[in-house]
Amino acid sequence: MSKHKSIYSFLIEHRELPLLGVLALLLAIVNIRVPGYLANSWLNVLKNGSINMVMCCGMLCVLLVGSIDISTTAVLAFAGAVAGKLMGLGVIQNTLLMFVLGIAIGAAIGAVNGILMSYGRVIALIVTLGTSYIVRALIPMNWLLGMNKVNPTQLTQGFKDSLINHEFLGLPFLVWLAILVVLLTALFLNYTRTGRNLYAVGSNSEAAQMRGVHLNKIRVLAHTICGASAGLAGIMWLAFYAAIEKGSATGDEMFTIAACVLGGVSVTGGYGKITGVVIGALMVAFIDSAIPQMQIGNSMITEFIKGILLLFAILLNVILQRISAKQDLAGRNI
Amino acid sequence: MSEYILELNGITKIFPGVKALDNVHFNLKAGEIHALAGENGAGKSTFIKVITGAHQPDGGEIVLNGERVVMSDPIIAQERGIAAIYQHAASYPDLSVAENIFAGHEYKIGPFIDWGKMNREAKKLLEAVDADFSPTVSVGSLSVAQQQLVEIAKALSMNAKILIMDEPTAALSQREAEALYKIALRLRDNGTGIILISHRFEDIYGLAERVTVFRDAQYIGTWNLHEVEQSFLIHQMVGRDINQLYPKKETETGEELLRLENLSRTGFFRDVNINVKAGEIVGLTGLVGAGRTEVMESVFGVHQPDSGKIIFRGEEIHSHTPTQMMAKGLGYLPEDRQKDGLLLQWSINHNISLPVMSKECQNGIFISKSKEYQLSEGMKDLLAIKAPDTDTLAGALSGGNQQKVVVAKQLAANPKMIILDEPTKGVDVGSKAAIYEIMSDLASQGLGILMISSELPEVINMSDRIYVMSEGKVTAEFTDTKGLTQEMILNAAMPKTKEAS
Amino acid sequence: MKKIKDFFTSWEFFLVILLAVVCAVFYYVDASRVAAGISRRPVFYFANVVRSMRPYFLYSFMTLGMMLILAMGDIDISVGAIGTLSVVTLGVTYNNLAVLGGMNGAMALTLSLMACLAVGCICGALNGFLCTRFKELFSMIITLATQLFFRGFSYLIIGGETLTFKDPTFRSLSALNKLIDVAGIKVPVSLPVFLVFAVIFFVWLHMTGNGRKIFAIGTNRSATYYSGVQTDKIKFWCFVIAGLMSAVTGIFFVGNSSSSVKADIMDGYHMYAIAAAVLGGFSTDGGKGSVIGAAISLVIFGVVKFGLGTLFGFADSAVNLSVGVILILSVLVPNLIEDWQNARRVARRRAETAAANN
Repeated sequence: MSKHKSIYSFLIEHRELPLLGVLALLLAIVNIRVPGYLANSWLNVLKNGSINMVMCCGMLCVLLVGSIDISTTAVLAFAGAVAGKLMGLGVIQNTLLMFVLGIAIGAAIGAVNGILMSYGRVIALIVTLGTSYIVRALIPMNWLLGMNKVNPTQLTQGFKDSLINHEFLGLPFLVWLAILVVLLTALFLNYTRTGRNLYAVGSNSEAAQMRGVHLNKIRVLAHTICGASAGLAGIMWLAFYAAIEKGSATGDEMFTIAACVLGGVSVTGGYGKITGVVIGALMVAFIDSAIPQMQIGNSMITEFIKGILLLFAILLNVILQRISAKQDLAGRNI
Repeated sequence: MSEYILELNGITKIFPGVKALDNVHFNLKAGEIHALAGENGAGKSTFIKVITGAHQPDGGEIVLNGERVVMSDPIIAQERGIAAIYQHAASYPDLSVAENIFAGHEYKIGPFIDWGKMNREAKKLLEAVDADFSPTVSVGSLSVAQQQLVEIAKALSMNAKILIMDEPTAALSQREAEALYKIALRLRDNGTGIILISHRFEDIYGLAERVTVFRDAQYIGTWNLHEVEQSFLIHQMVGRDINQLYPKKETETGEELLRLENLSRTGFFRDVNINVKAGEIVGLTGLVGAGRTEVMESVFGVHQPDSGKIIFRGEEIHSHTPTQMMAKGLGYLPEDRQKDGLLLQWSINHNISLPVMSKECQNGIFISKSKEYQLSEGMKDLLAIKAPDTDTLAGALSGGNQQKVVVAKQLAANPKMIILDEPTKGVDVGSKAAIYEIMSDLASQGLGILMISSELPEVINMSDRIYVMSEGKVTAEFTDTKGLTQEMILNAAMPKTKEAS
Repeated sequence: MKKIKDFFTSWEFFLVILLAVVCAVFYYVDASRVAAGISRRPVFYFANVVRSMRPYFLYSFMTLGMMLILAMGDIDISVGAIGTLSVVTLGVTYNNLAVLGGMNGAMALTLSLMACLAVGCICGALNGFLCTRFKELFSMIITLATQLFFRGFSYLIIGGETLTFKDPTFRSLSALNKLIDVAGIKVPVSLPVFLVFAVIFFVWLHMTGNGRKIFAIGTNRSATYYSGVQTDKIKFWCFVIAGLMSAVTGIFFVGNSSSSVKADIMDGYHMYAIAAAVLGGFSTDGGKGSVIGAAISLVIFGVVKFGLGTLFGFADSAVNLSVGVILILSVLVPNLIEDWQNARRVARRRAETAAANN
């Protein structure tokens, strides 16, 4: 049964491969319609996709344990705004410290999400919906460092330059940072016991518990990682756009989840590869960049195409699974 | 040092609302298989979890190799050489075989997992248990029996001194179970102490030297198996004698209710011909995975067959649903009553009224509470469901009484024929007798009953006719059950193709 | 006796207490502000609160639809996007028929209202179709995808532009935003309409067999299917009705928003709808909740928003803060109480066992 594998079950085991094909196909089409698109725009795609890519890594961890976090962009705005306000007040001038602070703020909120979700037994969707309301509402509060939003003038030149104007091997630090996060996530998820425990908890929590894995701790860890990645993304956002406010990135958490789902991550937990997530995030970034250049319909058509693509990707996945199951059955010769 | 490698004295465990273990004892020698028997809910599973450190006892002591230990964590139990194989394979379907085997004790280089070594070692272990699959495939793609082999390889990989087998054969065919026994005996001969939990007396008598019985969370006793009879053990487990386990009445058979002609569904069953008449109990048996449930689910409309005919009460059925089949007078008691049979969070009353809501319990479109209670109270009396009242939640009932509620749901719809899929699975001995009695009564009232069952004694003693399935085909029909032996049925149930090779 | 106890331990009773406490606090703050001379006359009195509910009651219809979905153990993230698409359809259809096509205004309005409701139903039907045909997928993922799809569709139709309506017939929709006199109190039109809908939903969900089956699906879909209930059919129609309720919300939205429409107007509304339903006792696990609870929680949200806004001068964001806190606490507190009760029971049993053993 396991010896002769059909092409379909191969695709199921490697859910990210069909996506890679679709991505290549789309790139080809765009490149034909807009000659030189790839040569001109690849760097922009990477730059614009970096922030989402970082959040995708955190989201992957949360989805793996069978949870979800829709507060990521709220955390992004909050961490970015708090750090930015502190820089504006002159409390922090060091660029590196900004990143550390952002990660810490994000991790703290993520940990609260995780604790409420695991120990408090509140469904993750509700918890993170609640925290996203709360942290966004906190941003313009007077008692929270007394600024409504963060403007470019409040940031040091060094910080604003840090990710965009420094390059290494032709890529800006912004992109390198995303690559670093992806590599660290890959190392953590694939080569450490704790990382594998994330998969184990999502795949069969009861079995993991009987083996001595502390489910709640793993869930809190996953949410903390997700929060930390969102906090980091907040500082990246601040450095990239040189501004942040209460409403920054509202609703974009759906694109983070969409990128993960496109990349084959199972929302029931237990399955998901970092390679798939990278491809999914690239795909979303690519659509954002390419569709407006193709000049079909109005400029807002990207939303429509992203929706169709996500729908198509998740349905394709199910259909492939069904065909594979049917083939397995036919192979049983009954 | 004492002769026992593991002793548990006076263990007590309390859960909210229930005392799961009350001052129970157990001991195990090296190189011994010690069976643990008791009805469902006697506390066996909780006891196992205390040994493996998943639960902390509220009283009593655990003595391991003469040393008093506190298993505050499953990891401590593992480090001390305790491993367990569970009833439902406790595997991670999304992860590879190798990873499943070494989960929690991976080979590592520094802090990082050494995949190469893990796959190599897993391959060796798989060879040791005669498994023919690669360590890199995902466990979810394996059959239940293959997954059980992974569990055994996992236990081997831990070099366990004490191995707990919690109903390891429940999901296995006879042949696979025998392979498992061989491994168990080999481990025993190498000095491993094995705790065996099983409902099957043949397992207990065939493998174990001693048996300990729990009843109602209490310790009843420990005996050498060659000194005690099966009936004595049953008495100890149930707490009373079961006089007549199989109350089969002779009935007149009437018109034909169900006829299947060459019914086929790709990958599940092929050319199935079965018929059921009013007033008879037809047994449908075979190994797990032979396609019995799938045939009957196709009849009930859960799945659609690919070809062949279903004729129910003289009418040919096409593209049907459970709703339609129930309206036509067919009832179906699903195998997994907790998942498919009951709404555990709902009361008995609401469970029973659900299938007949629009027909029996409404005034117009509005629910009539009085009609609802009238129906469920009647059913509670008829089937002797043991509960304070019909507002009791289904989840609070014992397995046997839950099963009676599922039967009541079917009877409320006033069916002409009922399909019972493993009606006594996981039901204690006392309730089994009650369920057999209900079946017998229904048949004598002219209902046609088709019973899917793996328990050969009940198939032989309760059925008027028996069909045996193997690998998706009906391989035998026994029209006379007198003088029929388990061997004859098993012979028909064994896969023929594998026999030849 | 048991019934009385059930009543006092019910979630609805707790919500009423919560509402009373919130009102008492606001009333006290209001009175002391008047006494201290900060404000000239009280603002927190019944008629004023009812009148001011108007903007906060917009998503109430959507909440009713969301209740159905939550009761089945599903979730529908796309309701806001459906509302937007319905409104966009309403506006574009009217513009094409009346303004460009020269059709009689009333006729065009009727037709475009029908188109609006139809679009809501069609979107819901798409959700329902996908959720029943692709059971392997969570409704959250499906509706996340359809949300992007519907939102994209709105953008496809009107792009980033704002539709405005100077046409008097169309502006008659703002009648939905008016106040009407009920027993001397000025009441927003949406309130009695909502009450009518709420009563219909109450009777449906809690008094009919069909409603019982919806909760059965949420409790255990598989067992309900084996009980002969047409689970797919019920689920499909619930999604259709949720879509319809989104379209109804959209119509009130147009009445409220000075007749201008953009393609992102109702983004995030699904969150309000989910929040209100969850505070009302519905769980994303399915199988529980009551229409009365949801209605009370809508009132609580309305009162909290009004009170924080007018009395404390808090901006919308502070109101959102309280919504977030209430949302988490409404699930967390019952869980903690349950944990505490269980711990007490175990401790009692332990003490009994210890006493018996000595």
